[in-house]
Amino acid sequence: MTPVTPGPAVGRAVARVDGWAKVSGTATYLTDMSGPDMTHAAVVRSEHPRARVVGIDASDVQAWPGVLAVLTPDDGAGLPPVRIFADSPPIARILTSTPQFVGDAVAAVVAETETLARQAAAAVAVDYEPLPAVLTALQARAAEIELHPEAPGNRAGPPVNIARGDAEAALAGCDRVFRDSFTTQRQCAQTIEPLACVCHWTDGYLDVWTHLDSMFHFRDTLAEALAVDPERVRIHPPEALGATFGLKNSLLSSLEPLAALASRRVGRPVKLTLSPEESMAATVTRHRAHIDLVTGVNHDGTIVARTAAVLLDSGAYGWGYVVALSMAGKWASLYRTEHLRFSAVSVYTNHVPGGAYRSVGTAQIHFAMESQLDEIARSLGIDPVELRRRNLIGVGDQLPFGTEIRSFGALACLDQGATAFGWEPAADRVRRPDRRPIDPIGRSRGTGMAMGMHHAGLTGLTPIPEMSRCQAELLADGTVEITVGVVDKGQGSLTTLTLVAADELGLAPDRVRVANLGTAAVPFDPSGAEASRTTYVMGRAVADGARRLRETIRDRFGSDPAELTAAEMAASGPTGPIRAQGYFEPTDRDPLPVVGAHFCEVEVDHATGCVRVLRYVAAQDVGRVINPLGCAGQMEGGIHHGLGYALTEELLHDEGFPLNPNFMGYKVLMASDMPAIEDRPGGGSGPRRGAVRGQGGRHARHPGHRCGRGQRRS
Amino acid sequence: MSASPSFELERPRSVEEALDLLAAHPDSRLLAGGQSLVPLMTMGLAAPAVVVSLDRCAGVTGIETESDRVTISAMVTTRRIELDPDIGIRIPLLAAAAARVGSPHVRNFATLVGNLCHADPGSDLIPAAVCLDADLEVRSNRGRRQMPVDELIDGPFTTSLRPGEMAMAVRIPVPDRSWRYRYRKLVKRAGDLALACAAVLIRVEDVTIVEARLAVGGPLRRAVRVRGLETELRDTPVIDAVDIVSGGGWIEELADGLLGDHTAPVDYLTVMLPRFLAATVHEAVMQADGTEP
Amino acid sequence: MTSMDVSATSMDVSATISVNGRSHEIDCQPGATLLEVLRTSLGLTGTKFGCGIGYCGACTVLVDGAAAHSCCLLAATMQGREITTIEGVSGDGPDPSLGVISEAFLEAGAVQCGYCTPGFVVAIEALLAENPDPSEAEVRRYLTGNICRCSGFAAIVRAALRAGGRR
Repeated sequence: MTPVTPGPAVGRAVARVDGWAKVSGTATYLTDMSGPDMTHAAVVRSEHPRARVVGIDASDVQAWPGVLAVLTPDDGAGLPPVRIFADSPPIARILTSTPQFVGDAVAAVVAETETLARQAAAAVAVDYEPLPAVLTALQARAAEIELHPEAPGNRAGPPVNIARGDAEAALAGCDRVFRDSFTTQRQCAQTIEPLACVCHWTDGYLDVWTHLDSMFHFRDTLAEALAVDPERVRIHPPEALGATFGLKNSLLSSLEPLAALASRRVGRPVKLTLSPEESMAATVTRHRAHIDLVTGVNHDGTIVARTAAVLLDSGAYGWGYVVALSMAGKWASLYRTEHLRFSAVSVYTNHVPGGAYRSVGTAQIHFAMESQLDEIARSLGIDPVELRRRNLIGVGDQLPFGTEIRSFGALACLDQGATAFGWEPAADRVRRPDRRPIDPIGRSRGTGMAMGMHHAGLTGLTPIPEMSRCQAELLADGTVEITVGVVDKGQGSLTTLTLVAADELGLAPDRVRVANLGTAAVPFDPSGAEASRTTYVMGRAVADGARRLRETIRDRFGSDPAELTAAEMAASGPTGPIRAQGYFEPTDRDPLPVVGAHFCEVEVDHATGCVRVLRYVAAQDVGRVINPLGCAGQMEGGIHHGLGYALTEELLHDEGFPLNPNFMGYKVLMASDMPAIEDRPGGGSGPRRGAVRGQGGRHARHPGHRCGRGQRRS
Repeated sequence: MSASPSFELERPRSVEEALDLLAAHPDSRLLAGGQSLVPLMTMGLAAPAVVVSLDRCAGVTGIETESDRVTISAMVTTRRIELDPDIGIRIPLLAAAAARVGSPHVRNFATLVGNLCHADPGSDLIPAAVCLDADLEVRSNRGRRQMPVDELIDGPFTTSLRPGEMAMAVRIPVPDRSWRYRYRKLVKRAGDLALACAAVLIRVEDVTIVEARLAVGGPLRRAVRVRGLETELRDTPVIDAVDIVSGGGWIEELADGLLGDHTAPVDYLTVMLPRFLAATVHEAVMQADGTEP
Repeated sequence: MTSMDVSATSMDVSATISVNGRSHEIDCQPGATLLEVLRTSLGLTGTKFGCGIGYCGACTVLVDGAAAHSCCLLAATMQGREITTIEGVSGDGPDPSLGVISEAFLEAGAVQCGYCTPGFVVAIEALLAENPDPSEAEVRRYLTGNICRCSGFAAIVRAALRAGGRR
């Protein structure tokens, strides 16, 4: 374990290292990339939820001046399927002749300009034979139609089953048993920058700039999909990324692999920019879920036994298996329960694929769990805060894979949040405000709260090893450069890591530069900026590397990095590079648990059913706060996604056709829809021993959910 | 970036030149502020062969104020209407509706006349204009005519304007100061088109409603005056108004025109609209100001 | 299906537009938006493409001082108007020339992925020009033309209020 020394930089509000470039408009995003040799690709997408491509006629288009190539499924015929995760059935193709959702990629055009590429793609004539589609998870589970021979029963990966004790027998002995069903909708990340990538295949090397959370995972899956040596693929992080929110946790089969094939074909760099509509309806969404919960309690509110049965709609190529694992961890952990049984199945349907998106699985399962707990509290006449207090796990309890909890701020969050909010314990806190003369139909105000748990790190959740490395080097000008393989997609990790390194080195932050220079130039990191792991895992690796470099410098020059002058360095003569490697691998068997309690007050208009959130308090155990500005931004941004999920955000479909895949139809909340937010970061049990986190608040769930139109209880 | 739409652009310098262009090109569209037409073309939902932009056309930017009416020309923006002190005092219902159009960015360009002629069911300004008994001045190179805005809209995105015609201006009679007003808008989030909206003008003497004009828009093929309910409210005590309106018998008048969708199905609308209009009527009676939380 | 061919697309039009105080002769398709011309013809990529339909505000510029979605304006109709982009608001050198609003964004932590940031800075420039010391509610209402997906708007609102207090 590498202790992180609190120093003068950590804990101070610091402007981000990439702030100036972004605020002045000079930062180069993927969509800004251009070059004299650049060509542009556009995708021809299926107009049917399920079909067979009978013919593609591009003869007309190919004759257009400026059109360089038309790619069809034949162009990828010799290649293996694109395998997003090791456990995924091998079904996704770069271009498909059996499209599985409206928007599936069947052909592509490369042209001199983006406009021309789009016009040409629209003019490619595709002849489809429509096939009967599977549009609900229930229909998919019944498996009267099997979508893929590689996925019997339409199963999208293995089922997830976890059991402890004897839940069925214990339920029979409980004072009260509650059975509830919940359904959650598809939510889009809706990044403001449309997804894009640039691929250039030249001299036997493929250079890729793309929206990404993870570089080395991308390199390896892309190399596999293209049947080339991974060392021949070089992934570069763009200078700035218009966010991903997990959406680009993995390759998109018809983004990077397609642009790569196109570049090989035309021998020039190819830029593939998705339209906003494609970015929303033809990439991935949060998995739609059906969740059945049974909870047995005693009269005093003690939870005795729980079961959960989850059915996940993975869409055309999603990977519900990992989502279900993520769900199970929180469901089994947050409330102490002797008897548990969790079973989840994920199935393929003919919809947009499910994928990673801000706290995979956590959002869905907490909506169900917390909603049911409120029902239990109401039914037993126990205050919702008190009911949770009686059942929360704490230090000394075990996580699902057996790790003993060393630090867990759940109770502190509950207490501090309730105090900050002014929570009034009462059996029924829904009250009518003073009936205002302006409002004859009436509005009611209500308060609510919910808790949420998420994980930091991927330990036990995927076959990918959970570890990070970095390299720290003293440069000739006396500054230190630390190279890392994690991506700053807006969350501020380069700034966070800079502060961590600065304190370990005893240097001012402006003498430290943390950089990601691409897969060819930084130490291998098997994962990326995902699963809230960067600050925790890479943060420790950077602290380790910085500490080792400081020791090396002391040994070499006899003085601390801060006291080292250019003259001293010059006087010591040629030395070769002065470097140190940093490394961290969590030794726990579970990812690090993080927790929060959120409270809000809402007003419901009785005339229209509309809900307005008036006030929001978020108490979140984030460990030690590295950069308060970054921490607040992560919490407040998470709450924005959470409120949207509760109230307005849903990607709608009719018979498989997306109805609202644009910024007009898909309702992300605006500034004046958002309440004032009071953050209580670090509201937990004080700095977690050795824990380093610069972010938090990923998993807001909105207690006013019953008024929302997006999610339904049935 | 999306594919550029393909058309010929004309930028006439006079109304006469614009009318000749419209006459010469049956498949043409007028471009005023462009805040609806440009995105529609971007999305491929409109593809005129010729776009006639009024950006440098003379004689279309005025607001003409007379004692009993205000005439607003084709290129007058909603932002200007929202902020115009004279309109704010004399026709506050129009200013209130104008202030609810989209965002400030949109209102800086979107025009009242363009908004009416675009005939979006979610328009803020059509119900306001209909409630105000506004007229549209229409010209072609064969002549002029005038029609109530109420007769302009045929259905979603379709109007009764004939080929070659251009809406020149809206003439709005100034309601006398005895009218109370309210514009109310329902959106799922700020800045959206109206999921429902209501424009109400009402005259009260002592505790009795003597006259009411009620216009409803949003989930309807076209914004309409609820004439049967206007008649029913006449000479009723103020205290009964909310019950009469929220009772909802009048919804039958509009039933054929209701447009439900996935997020606001017809059974929701038939429950919501009477309550929504009742709240609007009540707020007008109480002379609530035009702001909403 | 469509039988569009390239020769059938419209002839370019010419226009003179003034951007950040400099006049530019441009040739573009009649359907080219101001956003396309700024980014492609003039290389001013600080103005971003987000939604293309006037909702997200990443493309916000000033037209004669008024906030505008440049994706919803045809470039050729901008003749005679003065356009100001983020490059004209923030200056183009490091800190010393940063505007008050840009500085407030950095200090308030209002920048995350940053893609929406130039649009917000420009919109707030327009807001403060007409209302130098706005209330929080006024800031939130004005910013209905801009979407941020990272911040929940909270830090952006703080930045606008901070900048407002300084002007």
